[in-house]
Amino acid sequence: MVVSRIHNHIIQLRSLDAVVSAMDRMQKLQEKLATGLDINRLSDNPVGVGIALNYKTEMRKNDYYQDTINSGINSISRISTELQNAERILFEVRDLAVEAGEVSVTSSERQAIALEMENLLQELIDTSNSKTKGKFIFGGTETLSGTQAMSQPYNKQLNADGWINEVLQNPRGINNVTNHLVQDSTEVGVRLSGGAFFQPNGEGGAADAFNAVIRLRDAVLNKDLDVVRAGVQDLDAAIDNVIDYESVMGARIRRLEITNDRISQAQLYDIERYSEIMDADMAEVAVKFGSQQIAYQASLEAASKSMQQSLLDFV
Amino acid sequence: MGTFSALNIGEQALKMSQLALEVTGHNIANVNTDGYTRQRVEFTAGAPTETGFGQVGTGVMLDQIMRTTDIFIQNQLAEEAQILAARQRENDVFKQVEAIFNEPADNNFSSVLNNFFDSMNALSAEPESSSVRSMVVESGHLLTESIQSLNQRLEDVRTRIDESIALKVNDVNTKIQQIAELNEKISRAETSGMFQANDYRDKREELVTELEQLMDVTVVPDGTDSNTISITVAGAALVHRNQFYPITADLNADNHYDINSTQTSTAIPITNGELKGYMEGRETILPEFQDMLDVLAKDIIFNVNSIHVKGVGLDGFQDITSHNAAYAPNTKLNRAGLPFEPTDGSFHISVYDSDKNLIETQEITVSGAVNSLEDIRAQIDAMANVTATLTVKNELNIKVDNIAGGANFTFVGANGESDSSNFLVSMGLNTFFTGTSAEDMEVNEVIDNDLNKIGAASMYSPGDNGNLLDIINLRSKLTMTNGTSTFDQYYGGIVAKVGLQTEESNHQYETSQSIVSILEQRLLESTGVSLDEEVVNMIKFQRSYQAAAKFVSGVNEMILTLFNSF
Repeated sequence: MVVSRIHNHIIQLRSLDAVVSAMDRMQKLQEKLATGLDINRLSDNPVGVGIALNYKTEMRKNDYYQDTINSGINSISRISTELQNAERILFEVRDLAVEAGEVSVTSSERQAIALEMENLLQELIDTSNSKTKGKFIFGGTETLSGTQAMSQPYNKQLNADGWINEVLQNPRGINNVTNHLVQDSTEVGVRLSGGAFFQPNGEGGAADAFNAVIRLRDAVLNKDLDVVRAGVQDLDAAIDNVIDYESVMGARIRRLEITNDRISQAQLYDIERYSEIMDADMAEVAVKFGSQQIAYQASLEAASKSMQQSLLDFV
Repeated sequence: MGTFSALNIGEQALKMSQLALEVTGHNIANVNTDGYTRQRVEFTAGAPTETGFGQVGTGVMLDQIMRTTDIFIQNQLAEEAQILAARQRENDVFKQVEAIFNEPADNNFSSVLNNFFDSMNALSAEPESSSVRSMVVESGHLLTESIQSLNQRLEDVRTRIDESIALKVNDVNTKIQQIAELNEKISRAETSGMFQANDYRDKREELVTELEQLMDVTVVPDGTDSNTISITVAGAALVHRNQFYPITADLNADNHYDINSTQTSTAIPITNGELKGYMEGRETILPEFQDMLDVLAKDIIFNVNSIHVKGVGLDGFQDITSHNAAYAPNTKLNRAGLPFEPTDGSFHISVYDSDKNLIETQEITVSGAVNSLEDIRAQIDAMANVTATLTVKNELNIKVDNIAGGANFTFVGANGESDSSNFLVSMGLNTFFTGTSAEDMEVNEVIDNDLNKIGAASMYSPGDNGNLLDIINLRSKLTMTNGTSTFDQYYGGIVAKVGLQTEESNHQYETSQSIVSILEQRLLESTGVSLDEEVVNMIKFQRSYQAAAKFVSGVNEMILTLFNSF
């Protein structure tokens, strides 16, 4: 009969092996329970960590794009508000022009209307030079007022009588657009060319809102009713232009909101996948931990029993 | 054949039983001694003497006290233990690398990289804001510090390995000295007497096993019945009979230890054992990850810089010195030792007055194979409002003439033309980062000193963020490994590689461990002391001692009877 020689030393070694490996398994489960994570170090699941890292980057990008979109929505809303303001001013000018066109209006009344128009014009210029967080809204990329002359987006020029007779753009150019990145490789304009809103065809060109007001004011001053009527048409073109852009801005906000919704959904999906890879199934781990605990106790008990006895106890 | 010869048989039997009891006692005493091999007494019957009645036995004699070992398993164990030792050291290295990369923790390189692009994104919403600009610089610093520290910590592990190598070399020397001494003792004991020096041999075997765990050696038995052994490595002797030749750890050109023999004064190849594990970690495992970090750092530097040089800050430059230098003023640029190679193309220098009105713009044409740095300098210097000089270190300095009047210049043409020649990137002019590897990657000191030099715009206009959008897009651009992965994915690849190799090393280590433990148990089966067995033996020899004593007293009675009859 061939029996391998089993002796105390071997029993000790094997018992130790069994106890240590049972403890090791228990410790791994314990770590999962303590951290709540299925992957606690790279080598636990290298491929999983690689994938999880990608999801994490996606999640961070999504967060960031959502921030960008929100700040984009804010600046476009701000443009919208100012455009509504401009629309209101232009309609008031139009009402005044219609009033001045009445034959019964006296010359002193006309003078008053012209003054009123001048005030509205000033208000329109202020609107076109309005700032948010210290930066011009309608200045294109020339967002800061520099030290040089005419550094506002729209600069009024006065004639000898002190009337505004011209509104000139910042010579550095206000037509550069600014885009924001709202998702990978997708840029959305959040600041349009500043000229498009009030002088779509350049200084003094068609639909120049300032010029339309200036011409009306002069016609009213000069009691030239035909010119007043023609001027109202010019003003209508400028108003149409402003209203067009209001709807363009509305559509742009809508587009950003839809993108935002889509990113939110993608974010949810990414979070779910990430959690699937990284997070431990607590119920499963707890059950495994329980059974591993029993195995550990059993191995301890077996070790203590088998190492106690030797022939010495019986001789 | 007389009556007294029976007393001799009895005496011999008593002696032998006592000896056997002593060996049993020795075994029991060493039940927990590592490397101890169970000893067994072997008896033989005494030579018979011729009598008139035929041959009569003369009792018991000692044949030998032998060690119960299994050479086959012993050799196998030595081999596997050597592999285990190497794998254990490799595994140590992997565990450290794994801890250094610190995934999947929250504060890892990946989040630092994302942070950098996030800050660029924030700046794109407000390019004029100096607080966001400083955030960009800070996150740039965080990025360079992170990659530097990853690289440095890998390098630290290499340094620590060197320290361990030096210690292990001392270990080897102590062991071969002891083996040489034991050679002498064994040979002296065995040539003078007829018995094996069991305990000395045990000790020598243990030392050889320990030595083999440190490095792969060749053990050659020599002397009578191999009472001495010689140990060599690739032709260099470590031990010869009672002589030993220490090995030394000497610093090589890379400031790391090489192991040399004092006998042959040549390098000793390390092919197995702990030292092999250390060497593997220092020369293969760690440099591989360092190389990957270098590739990542270099690509981030090159790609971000390539876009950044096309940008314009809030202010232009007045006096700028290139960060990089050419070997010599007249060497062709593509051979001038620049970190990135200039190609054929051109860049622009545009000079503005203090109100940012354009005064002069000039296209500078570059051909890497034709032009030297001096050629380029001369082209720039020919401009009316700019002076270009070379420093003593062959860096390029460009200075606008009317500094006091607030004149300044940009590297973008009047119509937004930008560098198509790589010249600015390779010289380190208007770049965001400097350096070429994980070790020396830094934020350009020009930007560090003046936030307005961050080239956010692609034209000279404060609210423009065109250039930033291009930099941010790098985040999702497939710039690495021949256009198949983004920075983040490449880093993910490094991390996955660390993980996979660590996992593999863990498996190998565990497998080796279980093989060794099985073999150890197998060997123990023959060499180990079983207390049960020893107790049985003890009873056996006690009883035979009692019986022999009884025999002696029996013979004594016989003799007394004979005496009393007179």
